[in-house]
Amino acid sequence: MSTDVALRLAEIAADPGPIPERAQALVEELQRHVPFDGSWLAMAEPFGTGYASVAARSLDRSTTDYLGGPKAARDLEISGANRERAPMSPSDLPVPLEEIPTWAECLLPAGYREALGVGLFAPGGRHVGHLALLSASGRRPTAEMRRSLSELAPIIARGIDPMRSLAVAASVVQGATAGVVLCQDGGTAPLPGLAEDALLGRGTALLDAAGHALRAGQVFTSFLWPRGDRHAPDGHVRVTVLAGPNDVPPVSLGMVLLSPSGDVHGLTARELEILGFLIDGRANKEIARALAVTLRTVAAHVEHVLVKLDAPSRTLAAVRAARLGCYVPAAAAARG
Amino acid sequence: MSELGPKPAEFRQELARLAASSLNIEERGAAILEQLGRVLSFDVGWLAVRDPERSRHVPVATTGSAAPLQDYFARPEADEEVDRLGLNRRRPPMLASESPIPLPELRSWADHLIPAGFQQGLAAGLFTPEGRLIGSLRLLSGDASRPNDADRRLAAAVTTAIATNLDRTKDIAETARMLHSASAGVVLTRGGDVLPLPGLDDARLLSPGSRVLAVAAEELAQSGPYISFLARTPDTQAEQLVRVVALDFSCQVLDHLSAAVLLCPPGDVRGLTTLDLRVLGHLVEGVSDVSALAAALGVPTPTVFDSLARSLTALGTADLTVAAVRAVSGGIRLPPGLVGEP
Repeated sequence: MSTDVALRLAEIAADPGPIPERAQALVEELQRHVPFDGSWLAMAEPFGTGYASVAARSLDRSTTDYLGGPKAARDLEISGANRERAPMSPSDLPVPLEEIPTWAECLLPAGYREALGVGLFAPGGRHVGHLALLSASGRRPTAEMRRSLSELAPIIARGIDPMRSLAVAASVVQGATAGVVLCQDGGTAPLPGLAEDALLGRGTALLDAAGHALRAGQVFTSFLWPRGDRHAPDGHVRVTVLAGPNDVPPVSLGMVLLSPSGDVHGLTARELEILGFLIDGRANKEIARALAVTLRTVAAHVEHVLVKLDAPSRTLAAVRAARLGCYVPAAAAARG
Repeated sequence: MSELGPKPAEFRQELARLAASSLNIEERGAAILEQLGRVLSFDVGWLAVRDPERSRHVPVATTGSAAPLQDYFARPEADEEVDRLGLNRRRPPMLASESPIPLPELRSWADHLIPAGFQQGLAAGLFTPEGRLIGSLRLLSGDASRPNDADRRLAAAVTTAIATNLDRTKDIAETARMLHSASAGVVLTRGGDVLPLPGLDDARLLSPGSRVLAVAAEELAQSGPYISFLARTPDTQAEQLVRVVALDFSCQVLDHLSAAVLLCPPGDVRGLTTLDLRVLGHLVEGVSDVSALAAALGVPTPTVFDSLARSLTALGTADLTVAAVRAVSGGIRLPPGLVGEP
């Protein structure tokens, strides 16, 4: 394999743009150098066991649908083709093609007789996807083809890795120290390059609040969260919730990042809580009850908040605090 | 490409790998100098991005004893000398031995590099494929014979790929795409310049001096790193809305890039009319008195009442403060500053 092919693929993999566009360009470029009759490039569902087709060549819709379905995923798993290993062919297996459901039900009827497949992995062994090159002739892939594909697999993996845009977007949040990806089902996954944090564990009040914002359609949300208990004995941390990526297939609900709190406009821990209640539209009476303080104390806090945010009204104070992300959500204060 | 042998191809492949990574600019810079050190011979490597608005270079990575070079570039007249040598224009990398001005007459060499014992060097401006100057590469050596002409050719083959790696607008575009299906977008600089975003169109609404850019910049200055609002598109008879999203990307210590401003589909405006969205625009700026709203919009008071009632229902609340917060966080509003747009 000449380094030119690797270079071309590497440059395509580095192109900005949606994953399916990059994926298709990778498949087309590969076809120019490694001849085959059909190809299928799929992304491993980041938090599942299935695959989602991101590019294909000379395959009809029903074939890509089948290959992206549960039966094909199961066959890839049984054959070990989903592990980090050298490219393999069905003819390497001690089983006739007719006994493998994917072949019997999909690829043989589509006219294919042989294939070369390789699992795609990111550095560190994270499963990113799968590439299958299909042949109608039934000729076994040469050792040279296997070696080429083995060399090119990491480059192709880079081109379809959905974690990349998440990690790039995470860098927008300056000084982010920890972060997680929030999955559709409420679970979390680590974000490459960022540490984990006890505040970001599954089922924590913070993740609930983040998930709530994302499900409400918020693309970007930022607020403060108390460290330690609700009285913030260890200060506050800034929480930034970003939706997306807006890719097809949907990869995650979004991500949650923690960074230093930054400028809090001189607001105290209690005032930041009060602002969370104002943003929620709570009356002073309700706030007093929730915080177990007198009505007069709440009124005094609200006065201070208006002065510190230079806001002539509760509405403007709430709007400013929401814009600046300078409040502790009522959900944090209410958890006791 | 091929007459240069396999070295540049492998190096460019490594540069493409770095460009596809999520490493930050400093990490990429360090990796690039390390890779350069494997194929070229030099004692000091220095890689910097250039902030054209402050006429200065900000180093992102160095190898070897780079102090004399750092001292030189910290001086205000450095950029002027770089310019005089033609290095802020697109041209092949220059060897010190080929300098159009004798080295002892250059402040860099006379005051800093010759006293430190350097005898040869290479200087290259880093330009993106579109021709935008991103930064600069300097290699220095105590050996008069390196870097030589072959080294210069190799450097020439990789400078664009290095520029791509250090170009922050690429990361900004990637983030913009991740968060929104933006149809158009630009980058604002600290000095108010407007730059294109790779892979995104610009648009009339985002032309330099437009109201949309002014409102976006004004609002970002008073907000966290993200704002979103609606605007009316020009050139259409029927009322059409577009969503404006602005994201703060400023990295004061590094460069002049300040924020991305994007045009996206408007999303669900919950059946609200242009008037409703204008009322909400005033409400979030603190005008909550109905007669004041009526005066600001030039409509009768009952019209404002009806409009507010529709907005409260659409935003799912009975409370004006909550409505204002939701109008801001969901960008369900037409800012008053857009009147008379573009």
